Amino acid sequence: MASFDGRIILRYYNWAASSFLRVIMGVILMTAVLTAAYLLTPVYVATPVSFAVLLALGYSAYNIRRSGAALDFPGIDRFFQQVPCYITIQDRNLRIMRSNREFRRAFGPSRGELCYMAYKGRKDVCPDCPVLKTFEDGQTRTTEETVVTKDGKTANMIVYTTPVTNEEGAVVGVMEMSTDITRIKELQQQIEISRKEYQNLFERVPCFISIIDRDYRITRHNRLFEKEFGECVGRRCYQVYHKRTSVCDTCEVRRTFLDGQIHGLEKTVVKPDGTPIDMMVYTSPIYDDDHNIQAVMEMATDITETKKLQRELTYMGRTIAAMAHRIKNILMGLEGGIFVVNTGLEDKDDDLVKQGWEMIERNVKLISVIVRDLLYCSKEREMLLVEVSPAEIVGAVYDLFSGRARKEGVELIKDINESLPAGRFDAEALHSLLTNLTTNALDACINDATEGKDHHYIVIRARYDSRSGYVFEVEDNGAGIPGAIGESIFEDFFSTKGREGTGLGLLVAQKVAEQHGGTITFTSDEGQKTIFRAVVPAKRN
Amino acid sequence: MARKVLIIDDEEDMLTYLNTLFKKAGYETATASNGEDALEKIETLQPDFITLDILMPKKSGLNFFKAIRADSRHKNLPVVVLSGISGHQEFFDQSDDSGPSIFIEKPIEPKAFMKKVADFIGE
Repeated sequence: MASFDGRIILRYYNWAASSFLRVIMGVILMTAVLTAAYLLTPVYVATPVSFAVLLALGYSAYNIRRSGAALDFPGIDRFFQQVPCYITIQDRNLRIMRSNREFRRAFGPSRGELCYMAYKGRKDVCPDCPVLKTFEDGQTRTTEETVVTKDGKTANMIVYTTPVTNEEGAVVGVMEMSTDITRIKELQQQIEISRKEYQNLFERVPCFISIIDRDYRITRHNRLFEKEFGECVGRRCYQVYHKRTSVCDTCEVRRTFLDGQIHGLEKTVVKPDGTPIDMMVYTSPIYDDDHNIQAVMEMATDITETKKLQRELTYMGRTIAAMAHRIKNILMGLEGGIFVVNTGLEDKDDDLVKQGWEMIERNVKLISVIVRDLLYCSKEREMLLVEVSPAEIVGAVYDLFSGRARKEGVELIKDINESLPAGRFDAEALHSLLTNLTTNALDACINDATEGKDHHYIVIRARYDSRSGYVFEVEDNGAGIPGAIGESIFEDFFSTKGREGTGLGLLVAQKVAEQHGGTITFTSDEGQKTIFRAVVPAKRN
Repeated sequence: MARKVLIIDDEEDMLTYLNTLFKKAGYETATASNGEDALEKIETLQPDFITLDILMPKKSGLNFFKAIRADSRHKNLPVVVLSGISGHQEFFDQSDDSGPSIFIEKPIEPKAFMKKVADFIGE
């Protein structure tokens, strides 16, 4: 095997004839290498590295059929020296036989020095030495190495090794070409850190994030989303959030796709186990390079607790308003009583004094009743949820009122759907809700003076609706609710029981419904039919 | 001659209070605790004016008011409307056929109340 020896006199026989072939081969090789370098390396390193590789391999091609490294062709040698990367040629003993100017500037004079000593300051061969491997198999290879320059600086290099062959085709040397990629590595590390930070932010931010495409399919979601809704990639957002089979009527994702704006709304979604969650949802467009909206990011925050607090505050506000109104009336009763007592005393009218005193007593008593009801309403009563049959509770309320209804000539009807399933309720509170509604209904019947009506009835109804949950209704054909009062029935004091009522019955009923995650509404065709309806979802927080 | 007032209210306490108040001020008084009774007494007693509570169970004050205004004989009967709900005032303010009426919100202060009533009926 021929050894690498600078003293070998190169023979340029047939050089002119073969130069054309060499140029063609060089061009082909350069093109291939440039393409490979472009594909295999990051974009930001492709250009300088490709250039260096191109030059190095051009040099290698030039040396095909030459036995050594004596660069007698002046053009190539000039490129070899001036190329802005480090080039060395090692022999089998890993001694550097040639190096370019850039290398010598960074690593010092090195002819005859062992490459691992020159590049890394090592005393022994590097593990997985690419030069030795290229000697073994004659293949070009690329590795990344960390080297130490002559001034002690550590640098990251991308290293290409390529064989140098003699005219018999034997590998007589390996050319090692290195480019400093320290800055690129730093940038890569920064990019990696940023990527991890972004990933962490996406995954760990305490809200539900999903990316939705134009087909309303979820293409990506974060960890919290998965925790609440399971793995949903590929599923449509309306299926996941609402168990629907078509797009929601008020779809913020669609709006954002249409106008590219950020939209937000409050909505109630349903977890896989059926539990409703109140959400504040924002949608934001994600653009592609051509500034087309390619997806919409939906970011949702669980505001169930906030909504609960909001309801409590609303309820408290209403209670205070109702109280203020009722206290106003009591105050008037007390003032009236005092006025009547004083008038009786002035006129020496004992009966008047007695009347006035009774007024005072009644109103003082009413204050104590109100305080009791108020305490019930305002007290943060812990719900005592137990598995109970709503039918039994309706039955108990029916039994409670049947005697009084009969006495007043009102027909009391119990209408319970046979398929009414058991559920988790605060039995005492639900009983209180139905009692308050039935009391109101009975009073509405007793006080009804609609002409020509000789029959009054009350229906206490309970049914189950798979969509809404439990529906409790108390229907009567009593006096009804005057249109002028309308919806303010829950906001202002309203009593059909004259001085006996506290006006808190409906507020108590409403609080019970809301504590069960439900609502209470009414419809009234005055003098014809009034229905109070409490809807309580089967699944709730 | 003393002016005659019919006091209409379902609450006994209010009837006693207003009755005492008007009597003490020198009015001739009568009371009715529901709309039916009141209509009867308007016919028989021919009051100079009435006081009317809005929130009454059997026939609400509003219905009663509409009924007497629909009757040509009582179209011009002065009515002192009493209610604890301030929203009711809007009903009377916006109504074209409320006739001679005045809305007074509960609670009342005796002297101010009597002065308003006296001004209203032209005493």
